[in-house]
Amino acid sequence: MALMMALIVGTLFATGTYMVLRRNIVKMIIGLGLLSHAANLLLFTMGGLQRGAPPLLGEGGAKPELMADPVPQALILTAIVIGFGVMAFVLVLGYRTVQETHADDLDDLRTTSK
Amino acid sequence: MLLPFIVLSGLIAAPFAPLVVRAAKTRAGWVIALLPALIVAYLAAQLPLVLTGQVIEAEWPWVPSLDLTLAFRLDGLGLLFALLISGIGTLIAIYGGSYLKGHPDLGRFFLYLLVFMAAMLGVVLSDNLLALFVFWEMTSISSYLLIGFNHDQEASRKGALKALLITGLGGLFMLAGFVLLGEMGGSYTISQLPTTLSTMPLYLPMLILVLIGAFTKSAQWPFHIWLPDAMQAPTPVSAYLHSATMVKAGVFLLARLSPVLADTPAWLYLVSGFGLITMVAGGILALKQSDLKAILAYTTIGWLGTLVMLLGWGGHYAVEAAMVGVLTHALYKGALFMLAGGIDHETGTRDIHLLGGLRRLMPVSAVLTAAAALSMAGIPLLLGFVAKELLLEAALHTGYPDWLGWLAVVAVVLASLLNVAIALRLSYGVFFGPERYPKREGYKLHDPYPAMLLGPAVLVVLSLLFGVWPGGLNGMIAQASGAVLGESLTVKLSLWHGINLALILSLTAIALGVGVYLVYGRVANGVNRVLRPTFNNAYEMTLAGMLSGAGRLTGKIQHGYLRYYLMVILVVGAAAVGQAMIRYAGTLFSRPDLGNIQAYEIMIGVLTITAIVMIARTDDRYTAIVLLGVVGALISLIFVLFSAPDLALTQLLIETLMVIVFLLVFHFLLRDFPDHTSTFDRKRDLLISLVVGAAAFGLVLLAINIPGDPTITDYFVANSYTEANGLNIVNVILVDFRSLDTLGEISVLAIAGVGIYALLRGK
Repeated sequence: MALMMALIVGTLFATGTYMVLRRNIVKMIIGLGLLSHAANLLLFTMGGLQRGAPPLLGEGGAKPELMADPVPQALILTAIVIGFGVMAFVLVLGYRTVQETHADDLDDLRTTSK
Repeated sequence: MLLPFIVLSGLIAAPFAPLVVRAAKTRAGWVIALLPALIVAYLAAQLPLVLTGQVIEAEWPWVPSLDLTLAFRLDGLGLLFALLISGIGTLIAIYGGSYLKGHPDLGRFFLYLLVFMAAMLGVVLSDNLLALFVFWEMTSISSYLLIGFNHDQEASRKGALKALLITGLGGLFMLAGFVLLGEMGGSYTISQLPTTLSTMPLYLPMLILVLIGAFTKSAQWPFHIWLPDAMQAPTPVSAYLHSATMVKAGVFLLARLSPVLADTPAWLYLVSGFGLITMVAGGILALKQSDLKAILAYTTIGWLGTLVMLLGWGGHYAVEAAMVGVLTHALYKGALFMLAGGIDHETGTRDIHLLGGLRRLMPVSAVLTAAAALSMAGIPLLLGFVAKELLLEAALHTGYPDWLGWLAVVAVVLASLLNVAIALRLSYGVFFGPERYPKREGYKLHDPYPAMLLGPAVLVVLSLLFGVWPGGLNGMIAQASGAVLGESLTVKLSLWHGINLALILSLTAIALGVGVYLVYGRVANGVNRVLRPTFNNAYEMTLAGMLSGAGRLTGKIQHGYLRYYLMVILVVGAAAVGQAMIRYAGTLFSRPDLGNIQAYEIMIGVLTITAIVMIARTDDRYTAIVLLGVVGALISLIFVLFSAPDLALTQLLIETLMVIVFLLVFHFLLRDFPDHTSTFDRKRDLLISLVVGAAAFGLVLLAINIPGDPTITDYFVANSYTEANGLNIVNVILVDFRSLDTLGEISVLAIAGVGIYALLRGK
């Protein structure tokens, strides 16, 4: 599955890059979202893939030496939430930009004065 | 151990200068002058010690790891310069207080002046190369501030910048030279440098770098162009910095490093060659000026050239001449500058063509100017005569081959006669002949205030005293020259050497000088026709070229298009990963479990990849959003499969929220979803994306081969239950072990929320 994960991460990065290079504001924002997925999955794969051994202790839990690494998971969890905050902010920022300037082309935004 | 305090006292006192001015009002100059006067007293108290050949040393560590110490060393050479700096500093403070009386920025003026004085004392008393460099640059900066003192005038600002650029650039060359010097010599302490440096392979480059520093500072040809423009400074500054002290820093540096750098053909020809050219060029250029301060500036350049030439020659004749020359020039040129300032102050002009016959209106100035000018011309009974005899004697004892030696004698005589002619113009031309000056209604021309005459008077009296009694300088000159030559010697200065070649040459120069003065009008026109401001044009063109070049470059690099910045960053990042991939190409697919995959996992993977690619291809924004949601959901599924239930839950929740927010926003946005870019741009972006994607693919394969450090993981697994009483390790990390991080995360969300609210509410 690591090979498949590498393919997914590669595709996410490629598509994310392509989208953030667009002049259309909305496309650029979507690209940002894709790049954030890409970073999370890259981290996740680097931590090692384990099937069916979640980092839970106690009765019925996996043995510690077989258990999936909890540290990358904790990092990614934080990243997902912060990524959402950033996305939501950028989306509203884009929305307001389009509303104020009636332009969704980044190259039409040349000055901060009206 | 008082020495470091003495040096740095100006820096400590400087911030209080504006307060002193506010409190003491018109007497501020006298109060400020107390500090340099105290320094003079301290230095004078050390005289008996230093004159017996002793050296006073004190050291404060500063940055020991860089070999940078505040090491100070007071020997004969340092004492001579330090006395000039503090002594003339005292007179200038008094003079400046009167010259700039009532100026709204007088406090600022004294602040800069004190900083300059401290820096200058630091230069001449430092025994550490790096500390010397720091003080050296401080003099450049304070000089910049003082030249630009009248910053509302463009000429002042330009002159200040020119001085800073030229001396600052020279200082950087010098720093490089110092580093070479320190590394070659094995020490940054000047007094510990070995005398074997000249045999080392890097001697010549090091020498040239150091010389550039000294030549720019001491306004040697072709770097002399900054000094005339620096005359935009108020006259006290010109008198102090640009005649008596700062411009002699380069001369001082040559003298200080003579024991370790001199005595090679490279030193002899480079140093004396540039000095000689400067000496002659300064004299000739001074002839064509009509502004009093410009005349003084060019003669200063000429005399600096003379001093540099003398240090280039080396040997006790030349070095004694140089030491006496430093003192002589500071005395008469300082006086002439201050007197010129007085004339300017009274008549409102410095144009020599508009002035004449002022002797009846300004008798004291007339007498003092005449005396200082006589010293400049080298007339007996003034110190200038002693200096010129020594100069001519040195010219007869150069290390040159014969023919070049005679050329040097001719050049020295030429420079001397030009000095005579110019001295006549300054004194006779301005104070004798028919009365001429720009008349002002209801103003009776008179001598400047006593505070403005005190300085020149003291300097002229000293010129006269040592002119009549040169033996009084024997000890000082012997110690200073000894420090330059690196040996102890005795000096016997006297007024009368008998009739010898030097005296005959001297008299010839005086006679010819008077002759040149008489036919001077025609000479000046001739000079004007021959000389063009070549180096000034080169400076202007270089400066303009650099500014416009920098503008064009910045325009190219800082174009303001986010996506081009991104392209550069991403491609460079991909290249960095790419070179690692090439280096470890063999290990990329080496893991045995790489192909370990279940059928349903293949399906999920293919679905995810398809959905991602379709996001980029769709022309419909709703499709794009839905696909983005699908990708998020599939990623949650991957989290479920690979033992990350918490991630799966969070991802699913967030993805759902995200789709809702996206839809809400999109609903109100423009209907179409155009790409805006040309086909070429799309192809280029596709290529970049594929490169970045390939790099990411390689990065994953590289990264999974590197075993992680289990320390942190083991700690959390072992302590999760015992310390935090939680079975879900990920949760425990977030809310307990790393709870502060989580607090930060929540803060980010809160800030984003506030930002969104403000954006939506703002108009």
